[in-house]
Amino acid sequence: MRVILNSDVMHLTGLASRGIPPHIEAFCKDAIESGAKLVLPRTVLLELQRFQSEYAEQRRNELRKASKLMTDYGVAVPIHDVENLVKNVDLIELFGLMGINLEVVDPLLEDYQDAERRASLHLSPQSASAKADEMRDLVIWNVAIRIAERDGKALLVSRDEVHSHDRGADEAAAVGLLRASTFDDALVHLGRASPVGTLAIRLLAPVWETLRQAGLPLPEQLAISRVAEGTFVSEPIGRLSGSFRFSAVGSSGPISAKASIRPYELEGHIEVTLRNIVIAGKPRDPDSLQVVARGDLPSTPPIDERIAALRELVGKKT
Amino acid sequence: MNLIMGGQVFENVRIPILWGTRAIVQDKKSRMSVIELAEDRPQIEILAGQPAPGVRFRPRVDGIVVLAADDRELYLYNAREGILSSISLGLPECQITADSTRVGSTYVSGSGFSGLGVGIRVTADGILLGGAVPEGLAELVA
Repeated sequence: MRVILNSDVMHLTGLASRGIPPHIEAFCKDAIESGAKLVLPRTVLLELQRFQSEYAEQRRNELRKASKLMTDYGVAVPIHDVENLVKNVDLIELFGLMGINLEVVDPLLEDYQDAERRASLHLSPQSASAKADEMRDLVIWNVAIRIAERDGKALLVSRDEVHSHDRGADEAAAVGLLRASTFDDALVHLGRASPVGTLAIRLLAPVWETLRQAGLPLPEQLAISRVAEGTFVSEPIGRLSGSFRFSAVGSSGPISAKASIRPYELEGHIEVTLRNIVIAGKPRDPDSLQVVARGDLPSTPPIDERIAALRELVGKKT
Repeated sequence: MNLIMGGQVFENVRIPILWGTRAIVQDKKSRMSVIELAEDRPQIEILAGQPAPGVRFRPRVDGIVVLAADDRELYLYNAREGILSSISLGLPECQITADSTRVGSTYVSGSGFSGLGVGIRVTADGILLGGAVPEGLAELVA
């Protein structure tokens, strides 16, 4: 499956030659390992390159200022070529050297024409009340739709409202375009366990059947389609707890809720609280549920040896 | 304390590396611990490469995000690369490898620090080598 990346998730906060953010590198490599092909619409590449040019010019100016300051104070500054010291970066080549091949897809004339129509008429996925004509985002949308239609399936990773809003849901679904607003969500679509999803599943596993018995129309086998807003804690008693929002598809349709799962005061029991329960698009009545399940939450790594190692360092004055 | 970390030798130093208000230490197995000193008592956030008990965290593809009590993302700890990246602390990135310490784009290597309050201090403005422990911080050494 092709994964189309928008500039907001690929944003580099500095010159790429000084390092690509580890989460971008990790996601790209994980996605490639899953068999995905990574795509940058030319529009995205141009924007990323513009930022790179600005970062490079900023560094050159810093060098020029430093050189002038040194000279002002009579310090001999070696002859140097600022342009040569700070070069513009070819992002495709740089990612390629890291084993990450990015396919650059040029928008077609039809993509531009359709984007122009949507922008001018404020058509979906743009908001009808949009104050700005998000032409660039609409071009990327059209490229993603075209790739999904051609391949039968594609994944667009973008936080942009035009790309992620429900307005585009029907059009995306019609051509098999999946959408993710974070790398973690994208990994779930690629069949890879996201780090948050992995922990959420570990927390849900011992309570899943109890939730079903409490009347929630969850699927028989533990299967969740989306996890977000995950927060976890290694409890001092050596168990993992956490809260997160999750979605699943059950016998009554899609179900989503915000879960909070933690050890119950009685040993060998787990307290589960679900809030904002929505089933098939409608809030459940009541929309919250609290149950105590028998079982144990996952163990966290033992801390005795780690505490001892730290105490050995800081435990006494030297 | 006495230790060798990130290519530096710290001898009789109270806090080897101070990243904002957080002390960074490495044990003999090169596992990093991060200890917040801004509170009355030191709060261990990362304990030998893992989130410490009681600390709110969020795993990511590239490490562990340590969260504040209100779920604000504070910083990312990448155990594999030995990197601490500020998310909302406004501090330069800090990386500790076997033979060097990097703060932002500055590499410190092969230095010795002796009889100091702080060996390497990282602030929002940059890096200071050697100095006293800033006022208001909890005592790292028990």
